[in-house]
Amino acid sequence: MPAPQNRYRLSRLTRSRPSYTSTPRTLPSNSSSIAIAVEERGGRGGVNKDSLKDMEAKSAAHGKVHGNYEYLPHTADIQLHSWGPTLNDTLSSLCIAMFGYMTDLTYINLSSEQQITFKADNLNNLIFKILDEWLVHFHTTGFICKEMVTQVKEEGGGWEVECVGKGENFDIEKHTQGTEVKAITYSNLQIHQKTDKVDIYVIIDI
Amino acid sequence: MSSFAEKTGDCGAPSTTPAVSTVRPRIVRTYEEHMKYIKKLTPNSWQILPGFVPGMRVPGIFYVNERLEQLMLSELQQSCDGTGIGGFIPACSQIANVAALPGIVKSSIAMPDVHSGYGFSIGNVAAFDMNDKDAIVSPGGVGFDINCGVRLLRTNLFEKDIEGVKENLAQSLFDHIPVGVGSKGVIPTSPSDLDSALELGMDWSLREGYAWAEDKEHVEEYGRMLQADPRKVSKRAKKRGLPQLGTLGAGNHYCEIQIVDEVHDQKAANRMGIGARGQVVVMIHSGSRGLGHQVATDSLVEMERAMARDGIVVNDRQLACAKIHSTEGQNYLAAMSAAANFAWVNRSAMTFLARQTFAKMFSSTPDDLDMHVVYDVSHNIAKVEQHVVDDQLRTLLVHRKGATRAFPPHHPLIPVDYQFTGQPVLIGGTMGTCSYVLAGTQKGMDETFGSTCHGAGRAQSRAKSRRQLSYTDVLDNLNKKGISIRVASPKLVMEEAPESYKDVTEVVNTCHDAGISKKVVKLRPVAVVKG
Repeated sequence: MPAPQNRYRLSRLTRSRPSYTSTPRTLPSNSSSIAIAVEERGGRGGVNKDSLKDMEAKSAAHGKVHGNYEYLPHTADIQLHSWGPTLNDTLSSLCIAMFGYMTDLTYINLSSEQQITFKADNLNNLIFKILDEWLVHFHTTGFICKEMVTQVKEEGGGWEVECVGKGENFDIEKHTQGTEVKAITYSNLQIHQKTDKVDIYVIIDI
Repeated sequence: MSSFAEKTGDCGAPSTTPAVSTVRPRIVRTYEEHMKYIKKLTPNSWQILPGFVPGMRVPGIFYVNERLEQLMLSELQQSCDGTGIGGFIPACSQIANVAALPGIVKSSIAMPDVHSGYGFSIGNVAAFDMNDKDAIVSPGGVGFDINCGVRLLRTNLFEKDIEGVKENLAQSLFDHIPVGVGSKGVIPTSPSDLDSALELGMDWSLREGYAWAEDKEHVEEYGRMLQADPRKVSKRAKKRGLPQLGTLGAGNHYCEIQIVDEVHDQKAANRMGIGARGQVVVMIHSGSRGLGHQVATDSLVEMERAMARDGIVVNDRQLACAKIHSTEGQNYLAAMSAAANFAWVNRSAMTFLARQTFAKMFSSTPDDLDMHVVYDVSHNIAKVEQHVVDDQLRTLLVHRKGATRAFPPHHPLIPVDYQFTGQPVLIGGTMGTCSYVLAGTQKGMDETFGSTCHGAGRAQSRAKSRRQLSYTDVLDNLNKKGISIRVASPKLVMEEAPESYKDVTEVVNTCHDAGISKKVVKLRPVAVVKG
């Protein structure tokens, strides 16, 4: 692409713009490896008007729900609502709901298994932590869960949690990109426990 | 307020007290009862009187014009109609809840783009007295995306120069700047690099060759907060930040190629070097990525303990806070500053990548393309500033969450280039609409701690947008307007459609009419890269 001819026609603009002292420009020492990395990404991905067909095919599969959960409207963020017969099941669905927002779980294989364990002070803290632990786990390892088994145990005023997730590592070539989850919030966090049904509501920041 | 103080005195309980006791119960009222506490002050502003929620120390104020007030009040009405299950706290109540925090000064202020957030509403400005030993700092008042902000680069190209290569340019930008979930940056970073970046901010970018010396001049705080302490940033946060340097993120973050569409203030626009209609500029909207999100999350957990210990009572659990001068408060400020530095380094990295993109495309150098930083604003941050309150100069910790600093002409903290125009304020619009450059005014300094709006602000929930809009319509619409787009997620196309947002022009006009900032330039996008 040749340089446009009228580039220096901007004398009026140039005169009135703030004056600077010119300092030497040194390129970063790793600029060649950056260029290679950019080259590798070249022309790949990204939804544009030409890839509409592709998107349509993908979105047909999308929206399939992989557990007992739904996404409720919230002005800026999203509220997760999950339910189940027991607290363990509801917590598992809640985590899957979060992962389902980050990528389309239809494309996730159940090829590996990973575990997290932690302690929580109270039930609200437990709900917050289980999502936060998995979110950090995703950001450090790239692991996406599609199925999950959760075991919680109340002990001495606190809670002990063991959570096993099945899924695979996120691969930008294979999987669709959903929305990034920034953080879990305590905002309007609710848990409704009945004898046969447990409901949890959590707002996540996106 | 005195009875409230007595109550908090009783709560000076040991740290073993469960955290629940520090949250006041919510008042249940009908919409009509609520409206007794809300008064219209001027055509562009409303006041929330003390008593709207328990413990209010100062009134709340929100700036909306006739069209935007509908959204605000209908949100309040909806919250009264609801059963209380699910649902969320309306922005009005959130503004009032903030007015009940210890140490707050003057009023809890909300900008026209206000909408319900967590703890603080988005668009909320609140200042706390640094000399009041009970005054607090709240991570909720900064937001999860610490130092999220907007940067504007100018070029000396005109619209017709990029006409033929627009699609290629969009693709090339998309190749250079990774976006969306699970994306990794193209700039290799080691843990020790990250520590230096957190400490040095843009000085690190300059040292490593990602930034130009004059870039720093045109960034708030010169791109480096001196209180930053990388040791206060948790390992988890650093782990999240390490692969993400030079990535844009997702959600409402974007990188756009824009055209100067209307010039409202020729003199100020010339001063900023964007005074010619048709001129091409690049806008980058991003933040501190996973690192900042984790810093905020970590601090919330820590502060909950501090609240129970110090007997701080709040109206909403998400308003977790700590006394400014407590260990937790100081730790948060040090970690927040480090995350802020990371955000500047990140925007500088993307500036570098955008410059490379243009240089390659036009076989030129960024210098010859005049790709200088016009300005870089932060719209999620807490800063120590001096303001005149009740005719007294006071040192305040100003929280701006979804609000932009807009200092007036002659203010010592704005760069010498903009001493006569006022600080440039960059307002990112929604995908496919328009963005604005504003300038700070003295009235804004007097009324809103030198703050103004930050963007359009959501009007419709993401879930609703997804149900109601089809991405083909949204993309067709953009196509008709001649806007090239690269998006990582098809879902996002609907969620981020202009229909989901308030009209940015209404928001900006409200700020202009209220006098808290003035319009300088309107920008129109021609290429969008998004998560």
